[in-house]
Amino acid sequence: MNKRWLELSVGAMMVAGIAALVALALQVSGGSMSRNVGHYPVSALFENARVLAQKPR
Amino acid sequence: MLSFVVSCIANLGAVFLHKLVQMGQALLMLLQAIMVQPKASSLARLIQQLYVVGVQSLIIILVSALFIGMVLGLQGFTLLSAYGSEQAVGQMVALTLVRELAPVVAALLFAGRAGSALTAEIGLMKATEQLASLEMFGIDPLHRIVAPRFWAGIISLPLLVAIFSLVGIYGGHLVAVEWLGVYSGSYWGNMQQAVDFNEDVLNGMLKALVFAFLISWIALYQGYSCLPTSQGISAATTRTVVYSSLAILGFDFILTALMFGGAV
Repeated sequence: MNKRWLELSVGAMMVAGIAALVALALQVSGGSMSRNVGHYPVSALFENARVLAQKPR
Repeated sequence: MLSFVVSCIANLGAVFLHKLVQMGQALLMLLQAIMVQPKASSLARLIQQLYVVGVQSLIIILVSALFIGMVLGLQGFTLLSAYGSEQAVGQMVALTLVRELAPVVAALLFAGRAGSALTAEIGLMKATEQLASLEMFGIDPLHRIVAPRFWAGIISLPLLVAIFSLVGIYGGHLVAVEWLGVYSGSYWGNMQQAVDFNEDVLNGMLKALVFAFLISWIALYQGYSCLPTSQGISAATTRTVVYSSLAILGFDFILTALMFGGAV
């Protein structure tokens, strides 16, 4: 087998593996190194954002 | 009756001692193979083995990861939508893959694809007296043949597991977001809230490292110690897959209990 092709394919696999690990760190775990203990994320969907105020009562 | 019971106990002891001797031989083989100062020429052999063990396993890893991620997305959506929590499908897919499925499934595929090939290759070298020829030339087959294959397995599997996790998560995204209409922001946002790099991703990688060690060790020892006949190689290849699979599943439970057992 061509030595250049061999080295290229192994190098590409290593780069892909490390890139996957970086993506897992940044995109999947959001770059967080410790879990947020005591916090609760709240998400809400609004049909109309026009009525939202900065400090709602 | 008494002599029969004594004979059974003696047989059990003999089997246990035989297995203990085999484990000792396997440990000695591994230590002799890896306790050596690497030379420049070893790098070329390592790259060759990384290609055989790692690059050639990529296709099966990629295809399996994509379909497993898609199935997880589909099952997760169906299950969670019954509770009105389909927005949490992202975290379910990611945690399932990163903690459990990616290390275990990739390791099982690796054992079937690369582990069996390693055993068959070394077994055939033994049967055709290539290993004996190397020894005649004063070359240690453990350093020349076993060591690069062992390190290639150790390096390859964690990389393949990382690729498996990422492709699986995108497979889940494809089904949950693109097909079933889960909001993309919820998919990634919930996932980022739930997945912790140290606790989940690095522990998954640690599992992959342990599985890589086990598979490479079992495969190389079975090939190196097999009977030098076609039947012997066939039996050793089968043993590699069976022992590796059982070791992966057994150690997965132990590692999961150690890593996540107290986190409930």
